[in-house]
Amino acid sequence: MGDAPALDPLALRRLAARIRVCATNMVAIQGFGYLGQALSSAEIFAVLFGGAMRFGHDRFVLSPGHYVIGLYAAAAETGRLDPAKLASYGKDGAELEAIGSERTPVADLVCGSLGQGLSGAIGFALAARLAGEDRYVFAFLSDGEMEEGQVWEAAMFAAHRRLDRLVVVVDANNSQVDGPVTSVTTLEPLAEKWRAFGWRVAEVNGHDVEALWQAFASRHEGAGPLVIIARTDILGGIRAIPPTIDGHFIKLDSALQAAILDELEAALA
Amino acid sequence: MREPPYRTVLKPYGAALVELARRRPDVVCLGADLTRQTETDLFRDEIADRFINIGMAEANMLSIAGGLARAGHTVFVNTFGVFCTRRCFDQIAMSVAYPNLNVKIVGFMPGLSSPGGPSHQAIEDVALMRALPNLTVVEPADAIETKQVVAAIADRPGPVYLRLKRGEIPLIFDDDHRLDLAKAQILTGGEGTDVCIIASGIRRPWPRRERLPRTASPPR
Repeated sequence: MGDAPALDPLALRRLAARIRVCATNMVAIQGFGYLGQALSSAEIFAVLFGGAMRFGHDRFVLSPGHYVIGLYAAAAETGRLDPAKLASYGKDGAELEAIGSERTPVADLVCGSLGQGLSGAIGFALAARLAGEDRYVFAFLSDGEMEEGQVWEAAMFAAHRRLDRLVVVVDANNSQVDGPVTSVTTLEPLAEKWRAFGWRVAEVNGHDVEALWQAFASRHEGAGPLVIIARTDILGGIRAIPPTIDGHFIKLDSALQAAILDELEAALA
Repeated sequence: MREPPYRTVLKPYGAALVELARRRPDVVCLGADLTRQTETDLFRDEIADRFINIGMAEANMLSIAGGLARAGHTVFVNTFGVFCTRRCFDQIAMSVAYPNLNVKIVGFMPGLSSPGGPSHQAIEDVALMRALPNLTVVEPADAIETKQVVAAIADRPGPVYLRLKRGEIPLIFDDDHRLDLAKAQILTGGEGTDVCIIASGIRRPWPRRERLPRTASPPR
């Protein structure tokens, strides 16, 4: 396989903004949904889909299935999904379900019951090693799902097996159903926990495409699996959204939709 | 059918799994710190690169099995029946059964056959596994069937729960007996109509007629 494409920060920032536009329009169909997840993870998806991953060779696992809105948007914006399908998001019988399933396109594995994705990614990584393949396995996790013990079973095992081609990226947006993760339990210090489990750790501002890009590029250096802890804002820095809103499950009326789109279009102009 | 006392075979499952894996490079063997107890020490010693000990982490093991199966492997997952069903039910449902993957879950020490207490008695495993979509539940009755069942479930696409006793397994059927995953066997045919006993698995010798209550007809 050839080298990864060169970093183009402007293109990645624009891709992230377009992901947010797509997600806003998808959530507007029902008037509520997982908009915050797409707003917080837009740069992560932009970097993954905008060059960090080799599609058709590397594997992609999306562990928290409700983040699939970000995957749909990124896939549509990079030519991997018919953009016309986005209008069916979350509708009864649609391929693009609000929580991913076996029917979900583009990804190799999308979970829904939290905490299972890293183990599935380990399965892919072990299979690649048995076959002598050089593919990387990228697993997207959220911070809240680290409350599930299976994540740590998997983290321990991946380091024990020195799965060098396994890369985890965590959207650490400090948001779960009942409120901020910090109000429910203490996950921190996340970086030190992963390091103690035997992982290489990169901790970055998850809205900084250059920092994310460099973190993904560091997967070629050193031994053992790599985790990228991407610190993000559940509202993606959108000022039009009142900070008191429930970011985990945003209610979106047409006025708020218009305000968000105006702000994003201004950034794209 | 043979007559008691039955001869026994040592580790028929473990030997059959090695035999299968020698001719099927897609077969991998996962375990959770019960290698000798699941007869997979034979696999570990013969085909080390495809034997993966996950450690005491059954939830992790079942979801890893799902990933390996998605990549094209036929995955045999081995531990005690309690631990590979009750302990990781959601992982089986979501990582294995619903996506209809080639994962063969092998649970040992069925029912009350454990020398331990309730923690090691697999008494809900069949009910749990029967409730899942796509999943086939198989429990062979003797060493002849145990030898054949390994290839039979490997050839059957999709997830399987295989319930086994371990160690010395009796030979009940004749050598030419053919296991049929879709068919029960009539073991003894009486003339009476009062009692019909339906059972599965490896069990104590069949009750002799003279031990039955005199009010009952011979069993059928």
